[in-house]
Amino acid sequence: MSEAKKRRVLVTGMGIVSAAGDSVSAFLESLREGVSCISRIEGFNTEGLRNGYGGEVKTVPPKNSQGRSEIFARLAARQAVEDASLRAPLPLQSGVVASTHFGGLRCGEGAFFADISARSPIDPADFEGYSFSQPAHMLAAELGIGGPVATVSLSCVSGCSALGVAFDWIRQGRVSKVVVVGFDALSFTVLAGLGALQVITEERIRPFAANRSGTLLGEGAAAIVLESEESAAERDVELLAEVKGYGVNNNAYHFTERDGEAETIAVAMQMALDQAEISPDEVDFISAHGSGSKQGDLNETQAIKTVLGPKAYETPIHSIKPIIGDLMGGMGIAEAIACVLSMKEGILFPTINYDKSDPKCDLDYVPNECREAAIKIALKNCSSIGGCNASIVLASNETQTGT
Amino acid sequence: MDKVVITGIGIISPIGVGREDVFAALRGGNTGIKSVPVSERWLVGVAGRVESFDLTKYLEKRKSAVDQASAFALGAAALALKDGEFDPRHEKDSQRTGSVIGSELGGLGSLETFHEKRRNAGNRFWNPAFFTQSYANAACGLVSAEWGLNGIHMAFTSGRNTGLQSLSYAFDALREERAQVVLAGATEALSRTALQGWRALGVLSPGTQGGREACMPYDRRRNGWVLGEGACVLLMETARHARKRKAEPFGEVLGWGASFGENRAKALQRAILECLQKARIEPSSLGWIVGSACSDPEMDREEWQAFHGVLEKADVPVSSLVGYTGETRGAQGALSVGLALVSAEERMVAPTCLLEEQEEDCSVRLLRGVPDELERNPILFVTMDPSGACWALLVKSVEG
Repeated sequence: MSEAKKRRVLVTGMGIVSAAGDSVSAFLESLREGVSCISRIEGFNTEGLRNGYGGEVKTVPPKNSQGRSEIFARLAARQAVEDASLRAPLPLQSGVVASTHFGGLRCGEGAFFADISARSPIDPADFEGYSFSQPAHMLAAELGIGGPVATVSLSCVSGCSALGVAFDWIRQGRVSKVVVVGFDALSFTVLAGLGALQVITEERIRPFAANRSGTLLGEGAAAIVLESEESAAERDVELLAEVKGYGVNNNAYHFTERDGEAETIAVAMQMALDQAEISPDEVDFISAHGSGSKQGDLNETQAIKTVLGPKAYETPIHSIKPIIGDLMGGMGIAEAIACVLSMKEGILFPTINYDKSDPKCDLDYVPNECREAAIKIALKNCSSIGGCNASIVLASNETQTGT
Repeated sequence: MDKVVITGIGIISPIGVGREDVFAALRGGNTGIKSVPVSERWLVGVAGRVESFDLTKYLEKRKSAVDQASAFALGAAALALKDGEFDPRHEKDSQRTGSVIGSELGGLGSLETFHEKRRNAGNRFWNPAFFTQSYANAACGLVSAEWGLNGIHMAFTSGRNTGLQSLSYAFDALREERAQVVLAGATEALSRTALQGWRALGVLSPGTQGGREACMPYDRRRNGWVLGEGACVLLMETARHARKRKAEPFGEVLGWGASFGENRAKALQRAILECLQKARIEPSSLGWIVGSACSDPEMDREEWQAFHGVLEKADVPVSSLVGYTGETRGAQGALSVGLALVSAEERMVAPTCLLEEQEEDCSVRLLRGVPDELERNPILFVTMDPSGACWALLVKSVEG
């Protein structure tokens, strides 16, 4: 335990493919400008859906469904590996943790559009493409990974949870490097399903604002290279940040209803802080789940007040979902990248579309415009259908010693 | 750091539900692979189906629209808790209880229904219940909700390694005392898309269209998989927590190892060696190796090659339990652990069901025909994914 606790886990590479473009610099630019990249979905017919808009990746042709989520995963992971000054094959003691909400559903959903009780054979490519685990395996083969490979699917907390699994493996000394990549592609089925659940707004995502009415989805992938301090010290690489702790739990109430959520979000935040040995007073900034849900944003606000106490009112909080949409399996990792960029650039990115304050959501949500700030400790929250909550604590490079 | 023990076993499988049914099938060498109903024969001729499963027998309150994969997991969790004489709802600190339940394909059958219902309703009506039931983490979430497990929560969907990976994650969390009690395991349900899909990929035995000879793990005549379904959920706890409530463990988890490599035999060998080294166990002290051979022409051979590489001349019985259940994909690793612990409780090493003739170049001691006596501990479990991802888990059984 003590050895596992002592071993530091560092962020040394980042990569992202989203509606904001296919590089970390393009992502940073969109966050800084606070401009929404949500657009009309071109990849498939959205007739009959609640909203035909989303954060669609245009750099990969939108109509390209075959292996779409896997393409995103590979592009993001390659960026992160290059950013970490690594090249394949990675050392034997390396691993991959992938996260996805819907796997290759965009590729495989064609199988469901036809009447499957008819005896026509299924296209093997559709079924193979539906796989949740294939992108992680393809990536492991491409990078010459020799250690553990896993895929996590925990709704919208998948990304944060995957970072947690990788964090465990490194601090336990199992591997020295882990490529963590979260991915998902927009699909008709997902928009129909979440539309039927009334999760999707008919207009814009307005996290924490009085007129918020739901979320919009995005697609893409985000990747982070995590490694041990000893491993990073072996080459000339910038230490971008440190992962200090995480927590994943469940409200254990109902799969889609949200009673008791505020309390369990607070518990997940506290689990992460406890593991990080960071007191709530030390938290400089919170990257919220902030999906724009009427009840969800209120629950998260209450949870932040529970954990931070009076300091909640002095702690800036943002949600970047209105800029790129909810990337689903990749979102927690994309938001963690935004936290690292905030630390590096000394800038808090804004919660855009915030035009009407809600008396019940009365914290500092960094409305509409960037703000300069020195951030040493960031807390990232995720919540999802299925009652799952996850939090992760990130520390800036400056808080590290001996680097 | 605390030790991690298994105090309850919940099995929903083609060879029965619960420990008694399962032990009888293992002792008799009876496979659960059977002919499928005539109406489904256009999909496959034989499969390991869980027949006549009724979730209402396991839960206090009726649940509507639960996907079959989640239903199996709920049933298995209920059995594990009954087996371990433990009700988490009475636990003072629910944040110290958790669930780690994975699945390779999740509620794929519900996704079929989601689209089917809408087609039948004239393209206007989407029923969200079938959509959320299709989530890969639906089983894990429903188990948490059913028994108020507020603490650690994780759902893996890592192909054939899903089951052992779930048990390994629970092991780490308990060992580090991030939780006291965890329901951990994996589930998989057959669906039309899964049956059609695997068939389209050409991995199924041609004999799947008839005859139980189709599934022959490690056998000279093996020629592809026969699919199965089921779930295994284990009640895992810290040794301290188990002692406090005077629970009798079935086993103790000692550690895990994992690897990836395009040369699968070498990758599996590395995973096993890592697992043994971390637990400080010599290969010669193993009492039983439970493989994941599924009648695959290549993977079965690679598996025994890896075992041979690890064991060298050590005499350790090896068997695969896939012949009893059919190839249950994500659930296989967890089912192997559940089945083997039921067997080991009676000091029995279950043989490889449906294995008749082993190949001449196979130099490990494959157990077939009749059971053997379990002479030593611990038991090594492995799963190998076609991708080259391999997982190994070490469990010391406790005799009844």
